[in-house]
Amino acid sequence: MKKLVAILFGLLVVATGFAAATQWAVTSVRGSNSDSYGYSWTEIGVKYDVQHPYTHYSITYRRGGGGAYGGHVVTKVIIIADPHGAETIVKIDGYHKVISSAGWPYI
Amino acid sequence: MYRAMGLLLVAFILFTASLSSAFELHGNASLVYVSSRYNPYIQYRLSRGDKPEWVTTSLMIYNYSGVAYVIQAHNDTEVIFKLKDQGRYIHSHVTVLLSNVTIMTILPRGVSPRIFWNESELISERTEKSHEFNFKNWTWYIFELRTVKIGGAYTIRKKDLQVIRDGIAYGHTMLFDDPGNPLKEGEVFTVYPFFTTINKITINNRDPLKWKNIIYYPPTKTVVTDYYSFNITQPFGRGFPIEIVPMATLSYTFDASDGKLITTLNSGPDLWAIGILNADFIDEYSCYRVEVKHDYLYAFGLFLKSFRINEGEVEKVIFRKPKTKVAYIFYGSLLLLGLVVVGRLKRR
Repeated sequence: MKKLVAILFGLLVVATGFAAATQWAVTSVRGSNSDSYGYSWTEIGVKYDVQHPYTHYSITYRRGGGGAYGGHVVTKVIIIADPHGAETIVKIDGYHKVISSAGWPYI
Repeated sequence: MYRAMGLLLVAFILFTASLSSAFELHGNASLVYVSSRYNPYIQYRLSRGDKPEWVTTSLMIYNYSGVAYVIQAHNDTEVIFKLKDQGRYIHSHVTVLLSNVTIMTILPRGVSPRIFWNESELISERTEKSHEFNFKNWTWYIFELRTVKIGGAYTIRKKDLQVIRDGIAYGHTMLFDDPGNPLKEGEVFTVYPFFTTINKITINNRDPLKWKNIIYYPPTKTVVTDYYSFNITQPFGRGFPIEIVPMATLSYTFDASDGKLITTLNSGPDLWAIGILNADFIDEYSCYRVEVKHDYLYAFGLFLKSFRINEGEVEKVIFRKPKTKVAYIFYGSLLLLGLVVVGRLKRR
């Protein structure tokens, strides 16, 4: 019994050691799009393991926005989450869409 | 004497006015709205650098038994309302038909998606591990389907045209603007789950509204609400934010002569009541006419394709055969005329 506890404790120490050794980095990915009607932007926050950036990561936030150029009006802004990030749909004058997206793994 | 007559006249006018303020449907009605796919528009959008999955005829968030789904339709979107007069209420049955559909959602471990579609229509299904910061054990589900049908029912209270379901008033119906008691600027339009007031009303006495071979002639009335914002989280009301809408408006264009909805770009109480909490409709044919051909008379949202009153009641049409004797006389006279003409030509 004592041996088992010792082994388990040892494993715990090793595991925490590995976990502590993981080097985390944070970044943000931003995408944008624009045309004569207006513009749209999307930003996501990513926290990733420097050793395995594309398998060991998490998305920390999603943001988006947009605007319209002279004479046009923004009627709706929608930010939709997807498995890899987000997309922002900016609707201008009711019918025109300017769409941008941001995702991770960043290509 | 004159005063008494005048008073009587005023009373009569007030009486008729009070009668007209309650909206009357008179029997049954059906309204079919459509947003169509149009390949030249898709080509135009792709040429501008848009991804094919971004080009949709409708984009919705559907709350089905507490699970929020993002739904995108790439072919036609059709929304059918069947209305039935039931005394003080109008019963409305809604059917939403989508084709070439992508459905997406994210769920915690141990919870599987609630299926509201016909499984024989499924083309593909895939899952992806969640990389969400506080939702590590969750899974993304993505379904591709040939067609999807969403149905639901609610009632419209005739007195004030409020959409009601399970004792909750959602707001003024988007299907009608009662000409006897029209919508006005500053009035409350929707109550639940989103509160909006009417910001602007424009009457167009000049331009018709077109879609393919259908034209609605002026006057038309466009009602636009003030801005509102919301987040839709999963499960509904708490947890993971699946859609964030920092700014939105509701816009509806009515036929000002009888008050029926001709076109809209968005959802409204009538769709909220059946669980469609947000919707964006784009008619690709009209968008092509507007954006590429610069013909601004096209309505670019969900468009009223057909409006039928008293559907379901069989109307007997008595068809009388033309009397044969009269027909013989008619054809005989035609023959005679022909002979005379031919004879005269020959004589020359």
